[in-house]
Amino acid sequence: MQIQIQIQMTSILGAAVRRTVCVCTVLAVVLSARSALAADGVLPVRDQLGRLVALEQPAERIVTIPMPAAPMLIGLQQGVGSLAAMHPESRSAIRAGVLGELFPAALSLPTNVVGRGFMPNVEAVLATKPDLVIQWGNRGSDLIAPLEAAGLPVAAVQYGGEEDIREWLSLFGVLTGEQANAKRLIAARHEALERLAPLRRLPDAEKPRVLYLFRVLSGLQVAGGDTFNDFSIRSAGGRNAAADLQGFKPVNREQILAWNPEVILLNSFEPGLTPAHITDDPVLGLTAAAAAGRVYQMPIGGYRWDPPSHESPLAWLWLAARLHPERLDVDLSAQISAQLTAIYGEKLAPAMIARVLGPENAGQSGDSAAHE
Amino acid sequence: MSRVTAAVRPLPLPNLFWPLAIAVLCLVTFGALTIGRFEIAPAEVFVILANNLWPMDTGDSVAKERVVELVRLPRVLLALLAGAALGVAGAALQSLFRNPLVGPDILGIAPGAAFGGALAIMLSGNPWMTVAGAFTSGLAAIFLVLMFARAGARANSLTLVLAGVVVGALFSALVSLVTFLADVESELPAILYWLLGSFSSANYSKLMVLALAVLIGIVPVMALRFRLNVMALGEDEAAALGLRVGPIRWTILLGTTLVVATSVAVAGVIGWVGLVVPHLARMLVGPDHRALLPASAVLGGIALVIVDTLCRSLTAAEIPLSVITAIVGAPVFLLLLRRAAGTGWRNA
Repeated sequence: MQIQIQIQMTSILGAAVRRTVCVCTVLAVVLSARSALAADGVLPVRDQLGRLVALEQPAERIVTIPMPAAPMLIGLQQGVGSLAAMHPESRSAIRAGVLGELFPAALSLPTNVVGRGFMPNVEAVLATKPDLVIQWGNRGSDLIAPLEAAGLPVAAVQYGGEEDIREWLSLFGVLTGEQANAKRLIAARHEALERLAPLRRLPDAEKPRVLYLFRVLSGLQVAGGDTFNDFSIRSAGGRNAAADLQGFKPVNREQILAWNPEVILLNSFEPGLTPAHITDDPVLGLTAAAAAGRVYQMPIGGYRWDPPSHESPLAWLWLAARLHPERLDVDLSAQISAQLTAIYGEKLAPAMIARVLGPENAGQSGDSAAHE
Repeated sequence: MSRVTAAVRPLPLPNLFWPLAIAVLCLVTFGALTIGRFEIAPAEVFVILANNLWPMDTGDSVAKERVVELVRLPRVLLALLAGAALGVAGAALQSLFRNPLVGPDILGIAPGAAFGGALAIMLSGNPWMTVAGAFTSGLAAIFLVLMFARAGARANSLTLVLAGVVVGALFSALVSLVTFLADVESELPAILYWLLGSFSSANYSKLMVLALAVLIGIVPVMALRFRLNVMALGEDEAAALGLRVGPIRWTILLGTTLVVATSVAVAGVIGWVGLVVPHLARMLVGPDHRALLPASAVLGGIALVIVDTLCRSLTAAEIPLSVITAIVGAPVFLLLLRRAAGTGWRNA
């Protein structure tokens, strides 16, 4: 279109005008190409709050404050890469999972960059000499403003569901220059959901009632219908017994018995929590799940599988294998090992896989001492 | 006759109160045992309970038996005992300080106990330590209140309430400090959950602890019922009449602090019950403490059992106790204030 217009104009106007028009056209082509590329994933890029992140080159030293961000960056870069500092809970998860063994360097990164409630310790952040900070965007501007005031580029992310994690992956891909890996991880999520689609198409009667216990030891709390845990349960061909509730809500044992779930999933982060807490309880032990021994603790691969993370495809596969063992004929150890290797680029020892999937799975970090 | 007893008239037919109250108490207690998210028919509940006294055919539902005996029964009994204790504590404190606005929460005892308990959970996690911690800091709170209020020559009620509010605010800030320092993974969720106030983790050992505290704390207070009538005349007049004002005041303070702190330790902070129930009781049986304290006990028990049953049965999710006690308690209190406006309460 633009070339046709240019030919007509050169036949009508004089030489000087022609020169000006040439320059303008070139500029227009370049600018339109540039904006198309920015939408495609080129710096500078917009974060999840729509703010432009002040970065011209892929970041070389990144401080992450949201907990899933550090393992996600390790996955995208298949190594510690540009990760410079992280949240102490990220390090606890790394130590409890396989990343501590695959990439020991991650365990020695500083974690003092965060105070209570994701509040950044700006001086500690500056001491790590970062060129990018990743921070929560949906918890108030007080978490971002001090960092920007110190002159640091900040990329803000939101906590949400499946769509948000895909946005995280493409955003982090651009910020680290690993767009190809990001695309691969997003494609893997799509493939995993497609592969499990037949389970979702089953009639309700053949889908087990599943309950995810967000808290057990400090009061029973369950995940309602709008949580990511509900999404995971449905993706794996189950029905959330607590679907009528919203968010994470406290319930009593009587209500759990009334729901009578067929499968109970325990959170992976309460220290000391084991399935025995459910099966040995005189009331909860009467549920169908406890009677059948179908009380499972959410595993940790490189990161916890409870919340949205880059390892969700593995979480969904594991959950589907637990919910529909007779329908899903799959060697879970081999599959999980292969997928973890594909994400992190490192071969995993069988002992590591056994630790991820085993019944005494290290769901608890027990690493309160990790808070330094 | 004292101005207090003359001015606030009880409702007519006070003799009907006690049979009615006991009947309502039994009905409410049994009713609470039949209500819940798990379906159990009233007849089945009766059979399950009666089975403990003489063998009956309970059918094969182990689930129903356990729900009634392990989930509902300790919870209902705990609510009953805590409600009774808070009611008596509120009535005794209101009479001791001769102030209708006084209650365990206003005087700073409950926030004080909350701080001690939160600190104990953070440092140890042993339930007995929580009770001990709650009691000690509840006591510290009431001492501070008395110290501030007596800064002037006489502790008049306004100063007392103000001191209570200030001390309560101080201990609430200390609770915030504890939540700030607590370990986010293990201690903080336990503390926050406990602070919200709930009977959902009720069990028989908590019931024993509260029963012990009530025995040690409330029984002496009940024994001093008549003397509280005399104390209502004012401390100087009471002393002139031969009453040993000091020991009586200390017994009542220590006893009420013990039961309030223990109820905070086993069930978190429960507001409004200690404030509103004594007023209701006063409307029904009059200001004579020989009837008032037992009436507060009965009414407090009934109120808290009803509130707790609502909290655990209205929706699938548990509603925190403080939500319903506030929604019900505040308007009731306003109504009572309007009714009693200008009658009876003279603050010496």
